[in-house]
Amino acid sequence: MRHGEHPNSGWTRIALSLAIIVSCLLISFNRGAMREASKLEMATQEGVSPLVGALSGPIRNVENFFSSFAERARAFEENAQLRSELVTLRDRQARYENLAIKVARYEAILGVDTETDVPLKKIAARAVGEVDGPFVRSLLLNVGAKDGVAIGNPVMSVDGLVGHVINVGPRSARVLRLSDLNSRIAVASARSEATAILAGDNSPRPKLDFINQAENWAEGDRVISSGDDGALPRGLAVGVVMIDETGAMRVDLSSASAATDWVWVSPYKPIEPPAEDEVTP
Amino acid sequence: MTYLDTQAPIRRLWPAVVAGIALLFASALSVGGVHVFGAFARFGFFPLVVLAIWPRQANTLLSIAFLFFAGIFTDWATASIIGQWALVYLVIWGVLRPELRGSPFAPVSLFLFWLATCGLAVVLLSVTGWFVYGVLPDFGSFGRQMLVATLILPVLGVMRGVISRRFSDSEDWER
Repeated sequence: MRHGEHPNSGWTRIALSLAIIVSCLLISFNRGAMREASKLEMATQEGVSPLVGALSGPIRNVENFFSSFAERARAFEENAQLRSELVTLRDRQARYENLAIKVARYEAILGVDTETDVPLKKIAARAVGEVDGPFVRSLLLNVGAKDGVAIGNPVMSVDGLVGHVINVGPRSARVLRLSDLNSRIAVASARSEATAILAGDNSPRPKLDFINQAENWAEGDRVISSGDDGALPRGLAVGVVMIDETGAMRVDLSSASAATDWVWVSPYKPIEPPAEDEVTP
Repeated sequence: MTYLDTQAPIRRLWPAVVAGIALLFASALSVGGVHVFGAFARFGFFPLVVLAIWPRQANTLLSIAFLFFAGIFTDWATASIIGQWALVYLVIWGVLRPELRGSPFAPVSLFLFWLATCGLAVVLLSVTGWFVYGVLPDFGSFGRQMLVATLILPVLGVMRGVISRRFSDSEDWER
C-alpha cells in the first residue's frame, strides 16, 4: 500500500472491479446450493453472539419499560378478565384430572404406551439476535453444543414452536424460524389428525402444502407438529389454521404474536433410520 | 460539492483502518434489532451509515479490502447469501467514491445521498436475493431497517465530527 496514490488511480478501479466480480461469483455459488455453515461462519457467529447479547440486554429493558406503561393502563380490565378465567379454569382442571385418571386406567388395561416423545429436559436460552431480514428469518441463541444443544433440536417459546436449530457452535446456535423460506415441517390438525407440510414463505403466516385429506382441515383447527418427518417430536403447538384471500390454507403461528426474547431448546433426538441390512452374496 | 480529478491528495492508512473497524462493528450489530410498535426493526442498515460517512482521506485500496471482508463478515453473521453484503458495500462505495469529493457533505446533501444509498442497497439486495432464492424480498423489512438507520445517521455523523476534531489535527477525517 503506498501513500500519496491518486484517488482515481487505475489500481483503485482494478481492485474495486475485482472485488465486485469475486462478490458476484460468491453469490452465484449460493444459487441452488444447500446452505451449510462453514467453520468461519460458525466462528463469526460465536464472536458476534456475546456482543449482540450485551447490546440486546439494555434494549430489551427499554422495550419492557415502555411496554409496562401500556400494560399498567389496562391492568384493572385485565385483572377482572383473569379472575373470570380462573373460575372457568378451576372447573376445567378438575375435569382434566378426572380424565387423566380415566385415560391412565384405559392405557393400563390396553397395555399401550402413549408417552409423549417431547423431552422433559429444557435448555433455557436468550435470543440475542433476531434476523428478520428481507430473505432470512432466524434467531441467534446464546447457548450451544456445550449446553447440550444439537442441530435439529426444536426451539419453543411460551406461545409455541419457534423453529429448529440449523447450526451450533460451542456457545451459540442459529435457529431457522417456521416462517423462513427454507423451513418445512410436518404438521397435523389436532382435531382431525390430518397431516400436511408447513412451508415457510417469509410471510408471518406460512402456508400448508401437500395437504393430506383436505376435507379434514378447517379454519380454526389447532395445528401441532405431527412427528411424521422424524425430525421433530409430535404434539408441539404450532398455530391455528386460517384461510387467506386466495382461499389457500395458512397457519397463524402461535409464536409470531410476541417479541421473541427467552426461548427454550428441547434436546430431542430425531428418530434415526434403520441401518441398511448387509446384502450377503 | 466538488470533485477532484487532477489533484493527488495523500491517502492515509489510519482513517481507513478506523472506518473499517467501525464498519465491522456495525456489521456485528446488524444482527440485533429493536421491537417498535409491535414490529421488529433490525439494525441491518447500520453498516450503510458508516459507508455514508466514510473518510475522504482514507486509503482506497485498504478501504476496498475492508469493505469486502466486512461484507463477507456480515453475510456470515446474519446467515444471508455469501457475497451479497460485500457486493452492496463495494458498489455503494464505488458510487459514493468519498476520496473524489473535494468538500464534506452538507447536512441536506448527506441526507439525499443517504436515501440514494438505501435505495441502491434495496435494489442490489432484492436482485441478488431473487437470483438465489427466486422470490422477492419483504420490502416492509427493508423499510423498518431504513427507518432505524436513518434515526442513527445524525447521531453517528455528529459523533464522527466530534471524534475527528478531538483526536485528529488534520483534515484526514473530513467527510
